Amino acid sequence: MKARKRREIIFQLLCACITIVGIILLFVLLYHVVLEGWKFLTPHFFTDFQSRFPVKSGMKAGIYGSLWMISITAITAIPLGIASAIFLEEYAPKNGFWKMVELNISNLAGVPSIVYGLLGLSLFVRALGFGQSVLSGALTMALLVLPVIIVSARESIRAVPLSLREAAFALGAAKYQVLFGQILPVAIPGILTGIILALGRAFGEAAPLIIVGALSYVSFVPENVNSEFTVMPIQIYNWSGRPQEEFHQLAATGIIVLLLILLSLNLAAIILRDHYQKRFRL
Amino acid sequence: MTLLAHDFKFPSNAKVERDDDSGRYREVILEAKDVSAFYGKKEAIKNVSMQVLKNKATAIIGPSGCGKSTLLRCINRMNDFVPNFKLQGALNYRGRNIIKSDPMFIRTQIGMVFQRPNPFPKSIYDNIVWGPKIHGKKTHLNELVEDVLRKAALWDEVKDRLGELGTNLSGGQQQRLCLARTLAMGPNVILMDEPCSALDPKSTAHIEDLINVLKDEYTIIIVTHNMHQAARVSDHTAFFYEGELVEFAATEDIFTRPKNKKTEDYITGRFG
Repeated sequence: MKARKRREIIFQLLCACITIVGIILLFVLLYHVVLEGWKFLTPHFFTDFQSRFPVKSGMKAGIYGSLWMISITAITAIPLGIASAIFLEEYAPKNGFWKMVELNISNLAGVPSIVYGLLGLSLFVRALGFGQSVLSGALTMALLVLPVIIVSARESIRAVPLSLREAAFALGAAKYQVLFGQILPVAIPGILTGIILALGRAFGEAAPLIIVGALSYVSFVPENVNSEFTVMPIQIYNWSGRPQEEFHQLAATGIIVLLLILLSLNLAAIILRDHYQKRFRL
Repeated sequence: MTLLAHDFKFPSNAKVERDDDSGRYREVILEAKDVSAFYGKKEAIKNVSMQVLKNKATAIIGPSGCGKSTLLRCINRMNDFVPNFKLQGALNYRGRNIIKSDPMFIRTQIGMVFQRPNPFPKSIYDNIVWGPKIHGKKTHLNELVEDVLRKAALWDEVKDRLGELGTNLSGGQQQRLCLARTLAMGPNVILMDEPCSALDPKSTAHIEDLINVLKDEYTIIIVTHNMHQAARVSDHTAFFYEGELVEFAATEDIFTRPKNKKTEDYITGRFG
């Protein structure tokens, strides 16, 4: 009995230690980034374009480019993802073909992002002739996040209790009425969480966009979907490759801004989820 | 035996039977003829034939896995969602074969209350009006809500908080809300699949009282594990064993002088 209690305590301590190590490492990293980057975190950073001189450099092009890209990605990936999830979960016959499709979608969620970049290059940039535009980049990103959105949306739809479906069907509802009236309202928080996490990933990706042809030095903001563009991670990557110390500090500032945006996205996801979950307790 | 005038107001194609207790003629609202049901190759119901009279409460009893819930779910086509489920024979609702009818229509005529209370995660009000609304009813919703909540004996408890979540009510209240939701569709038949198995004794008594009142207006079929419940609420009782209908008779007869040895063993608690 005593031995088991002792082992229990040792195990707990071990878990706590490992957790703390991870958290400390993260905080050291954050501390380092903030220490290096805080002095460039001025209004100029948001309103100026890149420059040869670190003090005159800002991230306007990257911030605008990222927002353009993420908006187009969201507009294309969200409806496609939810519609696919609904079809696969509710309407697709449960046969071998659709099982293969499902399996492959799950696999696509794990494909390296660089591969999507190559696909985007040959499909959107060349075959469809969109050029090295923000549209090509955003559509490539949409492909990248689509499997994640589909998988998470399907899981949220599947998690709606059977009893709720039965209740709705027992009132003589058609399937689409059950879907829109009962299932989706309950599944929405989970779907939203998946979407925001997926978009967060797209926000931080640089590799596929480099392949698609996002520029690293841009002194304009996109005017339409055919404009050339850059995004924040590419600017950060670019700055961190410069020899001057000040550009490294600029990169750190960029990281702070990127992290803040991602953090607020995740915060929004949590708030939305909690808001809806309060409504649904069974 | 007296025949009353209103006893003869039946649809032209209705089948009519003499009711043993009152001597009245009553419409056969549901009729199963040689119904068999299969889950894949497993035969869950074997050649069942029985009749349910209008405005009567019929109880279906039997041990777990005897097919009683399966039969109930065939009546409003809830088994359509089970893969590999197959139904044979004729299952008639007022002369129309349920198996060949539109399930959405059947479910508006034949409502269901489930084993566990399953209110929608919506307000009490919306729980009730959702069904009528999806069928196009847009007016007199407030009256409808009050009417069915009164019928389900829930009105006094919730009349001041119709906007609150149905899922926040107690278990017994939730089940009565589900009953009200079913009544709001204006069904003729109400199927109850062990409606009290998740409830405390007080709530159970409440539901049982309701069944006795609702019989005047609706036909009720109740599946129950609880034999005492069947004895308390039903007019007719069907005893199922391993997919077969062993005995179907007036409840009093089943419980006082069962004809079949199996029935007797079950109701006296020798197995089950």
